[in-house]
Amino acid sequence: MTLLPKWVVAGCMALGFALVTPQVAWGDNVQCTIRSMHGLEAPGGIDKRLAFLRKQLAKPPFSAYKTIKLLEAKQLLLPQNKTQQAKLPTGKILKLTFKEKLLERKDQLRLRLHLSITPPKQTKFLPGTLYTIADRGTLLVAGDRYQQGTLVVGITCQQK
Amino acid sequence: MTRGKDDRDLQRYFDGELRPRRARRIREEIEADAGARGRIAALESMRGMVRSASADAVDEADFGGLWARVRAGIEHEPPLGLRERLGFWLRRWGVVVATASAAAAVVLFVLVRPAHRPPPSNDAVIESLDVGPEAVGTIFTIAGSGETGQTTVIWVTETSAEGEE
Repeated sequence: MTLLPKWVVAGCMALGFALVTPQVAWGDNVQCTIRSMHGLEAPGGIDKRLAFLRKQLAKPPFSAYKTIKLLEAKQLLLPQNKTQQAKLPTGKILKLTFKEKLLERKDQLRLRLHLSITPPKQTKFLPGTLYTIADRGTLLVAGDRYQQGTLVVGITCQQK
Repeated sequence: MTRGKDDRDLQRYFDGELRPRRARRIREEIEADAGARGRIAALESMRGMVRSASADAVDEADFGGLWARVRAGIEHEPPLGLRERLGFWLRRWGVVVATASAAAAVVLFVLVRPAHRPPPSNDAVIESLDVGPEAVGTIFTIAGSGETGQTTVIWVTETSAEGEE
């Protein structure tokens, strides 16, 4: 029996694993998208760019808004234990800290994050919340009044 | 020698197909056998007749304008249309191209296809929640349907008028 060189066997095994395993890259960063949405009672419908949230936004209490527009979407790249911030349309500052990654059953990835939304240099509104959510999951924070409507902030994070 | 075998040997001898040693022996037998000599003579006579007939046929044939007629036929043959050329090309290379395309499609599907990813869950676990003074925080979930799980919402209501920007 002819023995193949070890590097050939190792290369074939690596190629096989690359083809059959899920494409999951394990890094220490998470990429977060901060979407500022504006809920209004005037008719207008749900912004097409929010299609991935259409089912949720069509249910109470968001169904009270006949119009939900995407005002802006900002990207934050968060190294572990580093805080990044973004200014919201209301003038408040959103600060987000990526704390750690958690593996649940069936290797489902969850992310632990710390979030605050406050006026600059103040501790009003939402000075801090610690939460965990599935990779690519979206947390909605709403209630801030803005231009005859309500600001809804969607925070979506995924590992990079 | 039997007659059948003799005839075969004589025919092969006549055609020059025998090995030298065998041919020499047959020649000796022919010289000693008048019947064999007669059959060889008959074969030579037949060969002469065939050659004569062939020569006569060639003499009667007119090859003078043959190439000119062939060339004229080639030049006057209409060029193949697109459909004919495409059909010819497909008959010749179609199977090869189809096989290569199928193989390429399989490779691309394996290498490029995205890994199956279930829809993300928006079900967050709120471990702690601090709301500012003059504000009320509420945590609730929106029930999902089908593949989408429930969605967690933090609703903060400011009781003061300063929330309006």
